Amino acid sequence: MRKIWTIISLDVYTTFTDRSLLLLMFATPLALATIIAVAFGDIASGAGAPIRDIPVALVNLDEGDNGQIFVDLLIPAQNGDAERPAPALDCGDETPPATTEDNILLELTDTVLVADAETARRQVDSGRYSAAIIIPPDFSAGLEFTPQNMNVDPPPVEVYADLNRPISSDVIRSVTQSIVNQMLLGQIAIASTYQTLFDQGMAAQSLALDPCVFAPAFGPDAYTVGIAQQSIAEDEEPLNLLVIFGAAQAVFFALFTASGSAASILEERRNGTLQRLTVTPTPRWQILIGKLLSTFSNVLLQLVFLFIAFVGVASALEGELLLIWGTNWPLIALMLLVLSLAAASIGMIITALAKTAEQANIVGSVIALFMGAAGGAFFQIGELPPLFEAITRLSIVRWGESAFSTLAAGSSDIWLDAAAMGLIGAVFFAVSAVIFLRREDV
Amino acid sequence: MQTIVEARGLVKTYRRNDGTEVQAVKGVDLDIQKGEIFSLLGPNGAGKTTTISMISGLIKPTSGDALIGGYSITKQPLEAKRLIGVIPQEIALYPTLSARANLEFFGKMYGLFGKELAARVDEVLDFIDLTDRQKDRVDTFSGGMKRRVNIGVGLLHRPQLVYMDEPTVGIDPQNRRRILDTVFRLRDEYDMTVLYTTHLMEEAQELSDRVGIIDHGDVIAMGTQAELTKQVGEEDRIIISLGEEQIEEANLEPIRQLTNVQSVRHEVIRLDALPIVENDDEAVVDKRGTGSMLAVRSGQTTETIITITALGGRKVLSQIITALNGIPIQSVEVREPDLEAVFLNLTGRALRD
Repeated sequence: MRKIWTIISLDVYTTFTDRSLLLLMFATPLALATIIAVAFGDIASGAGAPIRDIPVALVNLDEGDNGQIFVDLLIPAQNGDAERPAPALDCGDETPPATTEDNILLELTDTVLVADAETARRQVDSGRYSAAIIIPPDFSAGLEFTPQNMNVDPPPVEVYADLNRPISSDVIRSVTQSIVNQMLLGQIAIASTYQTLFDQGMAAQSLALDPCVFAPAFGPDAYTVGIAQQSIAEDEEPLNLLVIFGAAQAVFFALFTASGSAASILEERRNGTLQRLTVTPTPRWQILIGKLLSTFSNVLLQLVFLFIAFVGVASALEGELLLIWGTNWPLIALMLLVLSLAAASIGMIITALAKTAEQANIVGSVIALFMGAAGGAFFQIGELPPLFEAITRLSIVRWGESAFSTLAAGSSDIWLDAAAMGLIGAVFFAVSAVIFLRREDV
Repeated sequence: MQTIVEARGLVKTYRRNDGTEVQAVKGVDLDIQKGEIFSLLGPNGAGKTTTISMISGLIKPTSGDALIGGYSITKQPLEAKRLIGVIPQEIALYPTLSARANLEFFGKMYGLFGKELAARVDEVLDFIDLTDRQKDRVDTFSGGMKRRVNIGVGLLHRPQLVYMDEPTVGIDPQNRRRILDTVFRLRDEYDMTVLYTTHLMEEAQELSDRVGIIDHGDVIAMGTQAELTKQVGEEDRIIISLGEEQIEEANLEPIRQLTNVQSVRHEVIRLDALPIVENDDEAVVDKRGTGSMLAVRSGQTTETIITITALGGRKVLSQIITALNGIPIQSVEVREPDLEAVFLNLTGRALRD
């Protein structure tokens, strides 16, 4: 055990006393993530391209007419669309048609009708949709009022959102809230009118039974929902993006560290120090375990430092201590461990299969770049098509970013991410150890 | 005397990329006695390093085994390795660490820790005469200093047996002398056994109590120098250098006709193809592959050498020069029977071939 520790200490010391390596391991990801986060933060706040086409699943279980208002607002009418139900308020010319030009929600979202809530939730989980809006069966019933009971108290509309896409999720949540508020306002307006007429002794029934009198209150023009109404506070933008890009950049650069650190075995073989270790009275497996663990240690130390440094950057931007990764310390520690294991094991398997250190470094860089691009180290992957979204699941950068975004959002639902990375780490570590032990030249 | 290395039937076979097999070592048997300097002499590619790698436990033999102090290197490798100190041909150190840090690291890998480690490191630094530079990074050292640290690492755990694999390759005469002196000190002051590999006949001749001659993966002769040279009789070797002068085989016919001349051969050495080693003030070429250094100046690129074996070489020398019939001679050297002659006698080739 002391010899394993000696090997780890040497490798960690060598790594952390190499200035150029330190620049690559720490300064570069810190700078890149901060720059990207600040740049994208400006875009999201309206200075650049608008947010649009957020993929949304709409489940209308409402047994009344009001749920259909969501459909009318979020899904554009198409000629010959036989499956689409008639508008909720078919009042002839009095109800203006919803068009892309005058309904900003049609641009903002790319909404699809889904038959049941479970399917919609599952598809949000799989990343196909950013959010699902689920209108409960008794939604319209809750909006109705009678002369005996003027209270309007509809059951809540469920917004099931992907926490990995915090901006899109918040937009959909705000949009839904706005539509429901608008309906409540309309219903309250009708109820007030009805009450006034009733108090004046008029035959209110004839008015109340004709909702088209109030049709303008339900037309798309009445729903002034736009990006400006989203409930994302402007000052939170850079912090959210720092979580996303910070985590992704940290894992991305950890892959380089893992690849380089693991390839040092092959460099040591070339320099003769590995052979020199082999002729000492040290079991071969101890040398290999020492090398494997030193790769793991280098990656772990890098990630720990980077995640602490990102807290520093966020706090500096905010002007106060801001624990951007949340405060669930055990799960943060768990994620750092499994993430380091996964990254280190990828470096080890590349080295185990490579013939030379140069070959290992080249292949390692290509894989790191793929995982970085696919995993969201350079742009937000939440806005990508479903097929590419599936490809991103091949990247541990994606898993890491997903887990830390979840923790940052205050949730502890990271078990799938942790399991995936733990599995990758365990399998690759075991396989690379077997390959190394069978290789006579290492 | 007590045997410290007993190798039997060591074979190493490698598989080439095309699937064919090549036997680098073909059943080597070795017996090395405790306290002796044993040289394994052979040309490059003869199998010296492969043999030493198997005996040190670096690579597994395809078949055969070696007992080191009674421990099998294949079945009890850790016990055997505790008795061995390996000094590789190349500098095998961590360049960004100091000399002391390198020694401490490898000392720990030999199972030394704490005060014992510190004491051994101090002792070795003193032995290699680098105490005052112990805290400097190795990559700031000269080639000779690196060599000394490289040797020191192999001595930390006070091994009974030290393997030195061509430790003088590519270094200047001053440092070579220092290393050869170190070999004697290891035997005489520290009672260590030294297994020394070299392709330089002079080194083997100067250092060794016994010599094993290896060629094409086989040990073809083994014994003291006296025992080995006895095998080639009383023939002297006459080596004549003609400089860049070119000759035909027919020019040598008159020499072959002389009484007492046993064999005559000539070759043209390309000097620019030989390894250049550093010297203090000028580039020199290991011209003969025998350790004798000749300066190469003014663009000489080839050298024609005639090698003649003859009984009573000095007596027939004048006849040989006459037989050359006016061909300009640059230098003449008469050598009494030596290991080079033994190798030539056994293989029909010079060591440098």
